[in-house]
Amino acid sequence: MDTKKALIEVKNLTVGYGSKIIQKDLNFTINAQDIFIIMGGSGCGKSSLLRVLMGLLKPLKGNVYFNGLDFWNGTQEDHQNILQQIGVMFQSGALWTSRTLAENISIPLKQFTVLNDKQIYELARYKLAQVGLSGFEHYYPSEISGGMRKRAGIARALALDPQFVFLDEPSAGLDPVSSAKLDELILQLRDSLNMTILIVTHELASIFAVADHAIWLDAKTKTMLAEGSPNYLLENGPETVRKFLRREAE
Amino acid sequence: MGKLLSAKKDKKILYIVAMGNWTLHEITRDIQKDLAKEQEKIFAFLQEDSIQEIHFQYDNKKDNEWGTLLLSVFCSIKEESIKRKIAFDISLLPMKMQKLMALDYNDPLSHIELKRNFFYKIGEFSERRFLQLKAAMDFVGSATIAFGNFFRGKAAATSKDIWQEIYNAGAASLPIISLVSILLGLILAFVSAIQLQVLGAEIYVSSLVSVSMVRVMSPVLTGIVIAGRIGASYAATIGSMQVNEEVDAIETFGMNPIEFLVLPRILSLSLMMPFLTVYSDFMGILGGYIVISFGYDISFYAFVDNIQNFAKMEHIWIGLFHSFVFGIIIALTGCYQGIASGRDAEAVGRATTMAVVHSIIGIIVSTSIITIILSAYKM
Repeated sequence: MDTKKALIEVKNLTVGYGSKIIQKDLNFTINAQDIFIIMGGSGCGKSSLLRVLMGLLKPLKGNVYFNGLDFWNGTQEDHQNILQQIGVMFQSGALWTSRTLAENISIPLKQFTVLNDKQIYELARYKLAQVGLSGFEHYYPSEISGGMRKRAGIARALALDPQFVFLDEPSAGLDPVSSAKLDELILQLRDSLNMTILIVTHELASIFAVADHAIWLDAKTKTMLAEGSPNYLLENGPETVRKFLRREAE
Repeated sequence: MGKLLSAKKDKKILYIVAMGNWTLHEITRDIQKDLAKEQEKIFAFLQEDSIQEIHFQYDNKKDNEWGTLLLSVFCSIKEESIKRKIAFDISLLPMKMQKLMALDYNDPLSHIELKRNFFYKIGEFSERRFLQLKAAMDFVGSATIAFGNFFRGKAAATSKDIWQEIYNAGAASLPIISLVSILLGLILAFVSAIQLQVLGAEIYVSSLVSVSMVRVMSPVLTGIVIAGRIGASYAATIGSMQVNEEVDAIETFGMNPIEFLVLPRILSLSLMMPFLTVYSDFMGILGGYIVISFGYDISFYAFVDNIQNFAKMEHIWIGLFHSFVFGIIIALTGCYQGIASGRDAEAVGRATTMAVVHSIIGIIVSTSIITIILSAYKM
């Protein structure tokens, strides 16, 4: 019996832009300390769903609950409190280019904590060391590689010790070794800091390495086609999902 | 929630004990101050030669109340102890914490700050300016060669690009040019009419407005408006293309980005500026007529007749020459700033600002030069 607490609940969610529906009738639950994967073919609406979950896109219908609090239809205060519990790493890293790596992490800490500059700098150093970027505190994003930018993006996402971490294509564009290291880091964050992690990815190796649970969004039917652990979906999922997980052409 | 950290020295051993709730959002100003004080105390202890060992402890039953702040504090102490060759023991900490403390801290690979004296700084400044000048001259040279290729029919620019730029620089700019020119004509007429009325010479408002608008005011005004509207957009567009590696993509195909991006813009703007200036001339004169017709007893025919007596073709040609030069200056400056832009958002913003500022300076300086030359020829 699964005794984990449900932290994020998505109920009857419809995602879209104006009158254009991207995904509809989405229902799923993300449990505490799970690594949850959103899978699907290109253009199926994975990133749009993620934008709804991170507060950047209002859903056309339905609700998202974080710790039982209504994210979109609740009070503004609840919405803000939930946002502070979410750490996001964007696909490109989205680091602030005019700030050093340490400053990128320090900005939210200065905004939302009472720590002094020295404590904030030490914390930023720790976060960078955690993602293997110790020593690069004074570098600007333009001075480091794409893989390093992604890791710095994760360090910034972790700045406020969030309860929920959302990662958009974290290993896209990385070499297999860097990708495997990133998977290890994700597992370590979950295990050591009790974080609940949601990942949007296509990378099969990463999916099998880290995922506890996954859902498949279908572009044709515009809804969720399957959910379960990656191994379960590989054996028992619909044909499309099995082909995706086996990397077979249609 | 109270104290978070305490340190106790016992002969050669320093005991550091963490306690309480370290959740970032829960830490109040008082707790933070107390923590900072304790940290200072610990680092002061570490300066003493007598300390030979540090024991880290965490005095809390609840696992989830420590966050990365505690780890960063412990790691900074651990780092200092390693530097000072002081032994440390973390075996009493929870296992998860021990794992997260097993990080390698490297010294920041800071950009080495050399000791720079006055002469070094002057040299560095001069070198930077020289390289900028060289890059600008290279750019002008490349643009000239691109024009050569264009007239020989070998440039990569397509007619679609040129027409698009002609529309952007020309027709799309008409509303703002209309507004600004009419208002300038109104202001000129109003101010001059007040003075000329004293002499009973209000009729000369028309010639004053028309000659000043046609000869220099319209070209300069149009130039400044276009520098803000079009020059800035050139820098921002090409700068953004630099950020997205689109300029690199052009080069990897063996195409010349100057021919592809810069040539259509210079060509279209230098062609459109004279047309916009003529339009601005009419609008300015219209503004002047509005003041005269409402405020003074002067007929439309008298107004036009006076313009014909004073505004010569020579003035129109001089105005058009000004505008043609301004078009080249604005397009060259905007495109150069875009091409020379860095690859981040701030650099694009800087390039856009520089494009406008340099274009306006270029307009003023070239107006002065042209005016001096024309004066020498008594024109």
